[in-house]
Amino acid sequence: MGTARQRAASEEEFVAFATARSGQLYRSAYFLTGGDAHLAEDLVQDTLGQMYTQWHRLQRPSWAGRIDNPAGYARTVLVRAYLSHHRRRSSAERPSQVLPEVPAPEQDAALRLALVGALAQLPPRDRAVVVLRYWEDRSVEETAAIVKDSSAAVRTRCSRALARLRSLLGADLAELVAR
Amino acid sequence: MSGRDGSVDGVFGDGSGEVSGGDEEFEVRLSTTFGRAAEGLGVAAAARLVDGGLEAGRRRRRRRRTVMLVGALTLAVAVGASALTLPSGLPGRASGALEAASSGAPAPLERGVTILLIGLEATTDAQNRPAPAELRRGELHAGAADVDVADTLVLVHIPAGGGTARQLSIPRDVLVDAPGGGAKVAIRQVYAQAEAAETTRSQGQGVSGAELRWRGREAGRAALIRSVQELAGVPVDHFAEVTMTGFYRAAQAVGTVPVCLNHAVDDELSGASLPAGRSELGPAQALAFVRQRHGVGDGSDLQRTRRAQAFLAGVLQKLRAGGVMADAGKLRALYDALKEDLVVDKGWNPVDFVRQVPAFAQGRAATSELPVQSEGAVLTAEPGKAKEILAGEGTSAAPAVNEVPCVD
Repeated sequence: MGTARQRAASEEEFVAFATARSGQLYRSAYFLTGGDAHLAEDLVQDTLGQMYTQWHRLQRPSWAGRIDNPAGYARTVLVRAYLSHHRRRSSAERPSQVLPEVPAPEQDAALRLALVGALAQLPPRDRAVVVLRYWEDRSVEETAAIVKDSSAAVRTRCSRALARLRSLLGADLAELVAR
Repeated sequence: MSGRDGSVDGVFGDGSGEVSGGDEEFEVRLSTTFGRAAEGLGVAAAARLVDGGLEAGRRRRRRRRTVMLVGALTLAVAVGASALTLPSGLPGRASGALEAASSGAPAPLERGVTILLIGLEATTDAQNRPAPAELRRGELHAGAADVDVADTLVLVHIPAGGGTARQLSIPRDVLVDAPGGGAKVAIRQVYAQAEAAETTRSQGQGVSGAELRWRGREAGRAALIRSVQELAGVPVDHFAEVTMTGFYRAAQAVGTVPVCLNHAVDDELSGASLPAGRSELGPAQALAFVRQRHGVGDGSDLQRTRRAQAFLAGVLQKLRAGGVMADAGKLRALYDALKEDLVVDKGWNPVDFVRQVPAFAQGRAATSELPVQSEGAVLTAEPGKAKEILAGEGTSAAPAVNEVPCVD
């Protein structure tokens, strides 16, 4: 790998990628963490940091582990970073209803609070599956690959999580969405 | 509980793909809710995330190189220990740069010895041959430069009597006086600047090829040692320089390395696919093991460092177990690998080397980074701090690593 100029160009590309994707990554991280804005930011920065060290792999031949879809790769990195963070911190878990400040006093703020409040009640893996399926619009198979589980397990997890969400915000949701 | 108990029950046991109308409606509504509830991200917040990501990535890269450097030194020790059976003494080439830099060195620390480790990112080896193709293409050499860059700088202080060794990384962007005078430069540039000046001078005298390369690098080493002594306020007693190529070749020469995992890993992103428990890593898997980021602990630098330490512990155990030391062919390969890419000062005799280096190579070292003040992109060292840290005032030791530890 090459000259200083090539490296600068590659870094520029990385910054362009990071700028374009940071919003989407942050939103996913925000849902994944059940509305913990600080942790969400940490996870996104960590994900971008990992992307930075892997960035040269975009130039590789396909047999040498080229990254074909950096956006998808980043999403996988984010979800796995979140899951492993949670695995290690599980003892310190606080199923909190205390939500961090929400800046915009828009109409959808109530909806957001209701949603992340309910998400925060789900176990981490269930939450990851729900976010991937209904926010990221990933198929069951894609979701299974990202969380390293079987498709059947993802389906089971998903329906269990849906039932829980429904009992938590079933009526609320109808009302809030209709508004 | 929602008002629709019947349909909630119906959701359980799903998996057949059969979804009732109510469930489907809920799924659609949930998707809509996600879309509407998603929070926008301001320009300032996005910029903060991008900057934070860049910083995290650079830190990560630095950390990995430090670990490789210490690994290469570990190999050198083992070879040094068995060098008593070989005619040539210490592996690597002997350099006179330390003597060149010793005039005007600061007063020594109370007791013990201070060693400077230089990790050099170089485009060619000491014989002026280009780095192996695998390296230039692969991750180890991701930031390959056109000139020799002192990419990793670590000061190690080993107290007399075998106490806790203290390791201090020097940020490569910290500002120091330029070797030829003039404006201040980042410390990583000192080596290349002095090398370029000496190369021009020697060329004028008709020196060429490997000899020219060596003279240039000797000047680079001397200038860098001077800068470090000035920056840290501590004299350098010995130094060792290793290129990334050297580490790579040495790792190849060792063969398989034992590691132990708490959980099986199967990470298609890095190519790491290993069972739980103990396994032997070949060169390719060893790289994947050290490189794997996803699903390793909490994904922090600390966790990755543990992986790397576990790998080094495996290397040590491998060497102690006699597999390499007893095998004359492997030993010779290792020795040759280091002969080309390791440089140590000529005053460092093999007996001292073997006595001094294992303490920190085995992980019995407190590690820290030199505190710096930053004004924008400009980093300056806090005066006196380095000496304080190396002398062990107010720092605590990291745990020792004695055998192959099981890691996440």
